[in-house]
Amino acid sequence: MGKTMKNSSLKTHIGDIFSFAGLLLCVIVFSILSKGKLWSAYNLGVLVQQTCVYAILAMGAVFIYSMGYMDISLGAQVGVYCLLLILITNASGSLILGFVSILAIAILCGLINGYVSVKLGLPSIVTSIFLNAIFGGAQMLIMERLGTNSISMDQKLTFFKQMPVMLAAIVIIALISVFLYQYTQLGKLVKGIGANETATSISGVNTTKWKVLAYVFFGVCIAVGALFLTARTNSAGKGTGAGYAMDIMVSLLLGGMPLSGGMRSKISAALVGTFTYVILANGLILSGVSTTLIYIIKAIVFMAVILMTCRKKDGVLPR
Amino acid sequence: MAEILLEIKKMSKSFGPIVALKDVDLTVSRGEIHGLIGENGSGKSTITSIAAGMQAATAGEMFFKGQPWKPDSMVHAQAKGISMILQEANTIPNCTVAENLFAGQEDRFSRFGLVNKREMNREADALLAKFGLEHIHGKDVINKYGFEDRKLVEIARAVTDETEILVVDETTTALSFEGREILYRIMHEMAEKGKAIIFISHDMDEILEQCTVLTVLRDGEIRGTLNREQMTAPGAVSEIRKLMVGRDIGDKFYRSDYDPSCSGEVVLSFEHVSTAQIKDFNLEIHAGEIVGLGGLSGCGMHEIGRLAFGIGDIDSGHVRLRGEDIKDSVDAVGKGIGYISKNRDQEAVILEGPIGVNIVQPSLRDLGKNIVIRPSEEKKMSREQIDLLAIKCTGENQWVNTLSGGNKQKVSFAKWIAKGSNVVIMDCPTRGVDIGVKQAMYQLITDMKHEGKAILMISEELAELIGMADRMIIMKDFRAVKEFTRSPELSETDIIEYMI
Amino acid sequence: MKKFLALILVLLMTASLAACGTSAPAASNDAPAASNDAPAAESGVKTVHHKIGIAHYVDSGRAVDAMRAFLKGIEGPLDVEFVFATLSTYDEATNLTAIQNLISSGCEGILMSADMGTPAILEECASAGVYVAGFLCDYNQSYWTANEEVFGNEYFLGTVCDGHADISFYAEDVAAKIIEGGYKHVGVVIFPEYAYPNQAAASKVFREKIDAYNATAADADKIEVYEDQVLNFAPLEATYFSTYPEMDALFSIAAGAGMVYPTMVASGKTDIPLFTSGFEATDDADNFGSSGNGCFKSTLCSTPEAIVYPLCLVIDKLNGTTYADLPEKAERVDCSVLEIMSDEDMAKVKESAMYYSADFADSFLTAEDVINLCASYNPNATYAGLVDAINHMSVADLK
Repeated sequence: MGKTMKNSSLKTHIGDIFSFAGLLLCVIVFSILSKGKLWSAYNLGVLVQQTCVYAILAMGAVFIYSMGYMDISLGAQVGVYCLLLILITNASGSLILGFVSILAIAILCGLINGYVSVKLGLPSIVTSIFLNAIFGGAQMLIMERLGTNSISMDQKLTFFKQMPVMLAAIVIIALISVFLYQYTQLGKLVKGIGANETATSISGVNTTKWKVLAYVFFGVCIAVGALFLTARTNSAGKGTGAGYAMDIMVSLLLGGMPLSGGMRSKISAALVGTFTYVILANGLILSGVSTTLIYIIKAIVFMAVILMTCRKKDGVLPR
Repeated sequence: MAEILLEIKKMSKSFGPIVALKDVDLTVSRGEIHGLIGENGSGKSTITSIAAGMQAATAGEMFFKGQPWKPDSMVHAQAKGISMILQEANTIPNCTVAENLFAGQEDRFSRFGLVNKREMNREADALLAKFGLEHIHGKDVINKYGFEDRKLVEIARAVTDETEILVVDETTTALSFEGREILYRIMHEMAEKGKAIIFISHDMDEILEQCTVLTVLRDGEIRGTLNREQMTAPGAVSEIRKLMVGRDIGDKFYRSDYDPSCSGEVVLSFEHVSTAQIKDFNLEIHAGEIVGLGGLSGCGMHEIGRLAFGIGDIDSGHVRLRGEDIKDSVDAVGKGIGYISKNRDQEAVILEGPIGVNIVQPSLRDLGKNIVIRPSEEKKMSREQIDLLAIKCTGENQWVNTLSGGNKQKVSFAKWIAKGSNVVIMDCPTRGVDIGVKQAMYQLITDMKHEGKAILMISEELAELIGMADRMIIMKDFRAVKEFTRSPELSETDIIEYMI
Repeated sequence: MKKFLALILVLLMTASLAACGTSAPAASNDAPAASNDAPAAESGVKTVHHKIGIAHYVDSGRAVDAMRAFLKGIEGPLDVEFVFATLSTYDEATNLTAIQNLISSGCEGILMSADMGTPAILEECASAGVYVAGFLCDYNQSYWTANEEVFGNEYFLGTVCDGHADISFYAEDVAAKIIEGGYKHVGVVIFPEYAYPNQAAASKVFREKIDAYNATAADADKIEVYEDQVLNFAPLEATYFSTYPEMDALFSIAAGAGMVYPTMVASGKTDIPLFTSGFEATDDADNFGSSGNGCFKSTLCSTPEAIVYPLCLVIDKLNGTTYADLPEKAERVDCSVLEIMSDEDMAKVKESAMYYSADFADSFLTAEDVINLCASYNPNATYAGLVDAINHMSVADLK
């Protein structure tokens, strides 16, 4: 009672500015410390290449994180899709067939991830742990069967390695994501589910359906991300995708995404966050920081960016 | 004249540019049950929260038992003798009742660092018995008990031998008839012992019955103080209302007509509905009819409301809308049913979200028929509702958690008006809402009736049902026990006997 | 308050980064090409400043410390600035990213110790004009599946193995020890053949040697060798010891100190003598031969100084001068190993091997030696001389 009426729309804008502030901070600091090398034409290309896969995955993940859910099966899924893409393409000679196959599997896994967690009433992290184990096992099994550390694709995916193509992919996925997020029920409802699932369901929303659809879109992003990841090295191995789930989570945090989901979730968190994350790793090497210090400095920057981006202490932690 | 316990002088409190309290003077004496009444935002809770150490005043002085009083925390204040019971749930989940009762005092029962659970439970039972709460057991996990019993546990925790002043802040809205009786008894016992109670409530009848002194607040200032004689004088109620609202709201509080007629068309029907608890429940609601459902809080009326919206399992029978079974809440909304939950903050609105998003949510499926949802349409819809219901806000982007209780409730109404629902189930629609907003809501409900909507109004406030419903069903032990038709002669005493 | 904290963190970071920047090698001005007034080496030879990336698959441990000490010892006189990055042994994209970052930071040449995604990395390096060479890595994957693409690539200059590509000699030496020690039941642990074909081959040699002995030995003296236990880059399972309760010696060709010894400790089986490779200079040094619990009986490692092979090749390539006898196609060459078979060997290693002390003073090569190995700084230097140098770094060569 007697509470002040705060201008919340202004507050939201300040939040947006601060999530960019983290990126801006990294750009400024590393521009100086790398003596401008950050901006060399070669390095810009490298940054786009390194960001592309992360950005595509992160934009899909926003739909999941918006619901206050987490997914740790991401990395293992990416790994298996890369391997399958190479194996199927090599066997059939058709990249399209390879991609369509992994897309189909990715969508199927999205359905499983969504349905199983809803129907069994499990927290989604549990199903994703389960999927992570399955995919991790599949990746090991495939590699052991092949008896090698790494397999490469017969045809070169140079088209998908070009900077304009990668940029275009980021832009196209971003446009689709923003469209789904801002102008369709999907985006509005995943945020609603994250903010208050009961209230959303009592508003007559079939939450199961939208959860599953969110996972399906996530699956599509994983498949596209896997295609671009494979294109980078034209090969894949046992460790492809390892650590991606955590990378994406950290990126989203850096971009100002609340891990509890809800109304403050935004697609821009994926783009800002992944750029920040990549520039952080790239800039530290460019600045000549020794590998032993990199972890500590990463941690410090991470804390600084988080403190700048996340305004509410209850706004970042998952439920 | 009894000894003055608490004296507040020229207290002011501001939050940024907003002034919540302006130069308030208030004295509380021994043996008083001091009522505080006023609309939401009038400053009632601000005064008590400062006195109980939850926040500090911007200016002014306080004296407690003649000494300058500057509590630095609720714990400090409670130890010194000012305890507070809050509106919101304040028990620690997943702990036993005893652990809740003695939170922070485990030392009393521990020896060598080990807490003697048995002794603690025994003492808890003794303490509960002292308050007449024998049905609650110290050893049980608190989650086992409903909201009401947890509230009673809180009361038992707040009131100790040292307590000189007990602040009861809108606690009674959470309590049923029996719960309230227990609380009233405790209050009066304390007053007789020479202690004092500060009692905050929206319920005018309750205030008039229980309080010995009443202070009316509006916009952070004291508008009047009434003693017992003034409170019981004829016309006191409209006088108090006038002080609260600042204008004469007259007698047009509830519906003014006594015409129970409605269309003959049955919209919502319960046909021999049985669940685990409810046995063979039948009810028909017609277009343009307000059906009131009353009873004690555990009588099953809230469950009926949920069943009408497709939530909960039915063992046999049918809940139908115009002859078609209602499968689940998704189906219910599709068929044009709206539901305003009693648990507003958990179920009816998304607190952590903008007003606009809340209002539009049930209508998204209509707006998104052709996939694309136009932001302009969303905006138009929210704006219309904000204007229609006069929701006090800076715009559709303001977050619901920054609104007052009454405005939050308006948002949950707006969702279904925007959706154009023909049947609205409202469970305790005016809970925790102040008089001005209440009046507006009653007007709104009346308008909805005249538009031909079918309304199922579930309420624990009999006065509201008498004032609004065309037909009243009284429930007891999961059965409909009595039906009343709208009439000016109907009084609460006629009804209460069927409830208990 | 929070913004203030963020500010402090940023200041702290900037300060620490600035500090790192200044403590970096003196010659960190960014002109990569020939600088005339570059600090001349003691020998009077005019060296040219270069920036070289060291991409290693580990970033801590005794071997890394020793390698860093060696590089630190030679960077001044050789006028080379080293930039470090960490590689993955199982993820191609991680490695490509690491190499790209090194190229961005201005490295003209890169030494890598992991063969994962090498074709893609070479493609990247070729387009950026950066030379690559390998160290402590036999490049098996590329050698067998993309030989022409990698070893035939103009920008790949060759690699030095982690010791010998073929470790049969060690299998023979261990077999001799086993026979000499009178052990009867021997277990063999290896990494998967696709990753380390030389370990499977060594196991075969070991068995042949034992079989040859068994052919002449009396029945009571015959030695039983259990079938290979393949480790999938995860520690040995404790059940291995219950499967073979009679085992009285264990030959772990796979890195024993990291993968097998911890399991032995956990199962209380340190009484079984362990012959292994992958000397870590930690537990395996403390419990070797007659010291500690004496579990370790023999071990093996290569020396960090062998990094001069790729380093000299890269420097010469950057300076535009090459050995007269440089082979046409990039090679993978062996280098000496520290084969520690006895207490005396261990004492010698502890006493005077840089691998153990991480002290540049113990190095097999001085900075001047390294300069003299480069064709661009010493007209008389030969490729044969370079290969010879890295093959004189065994226990016998220790001072």
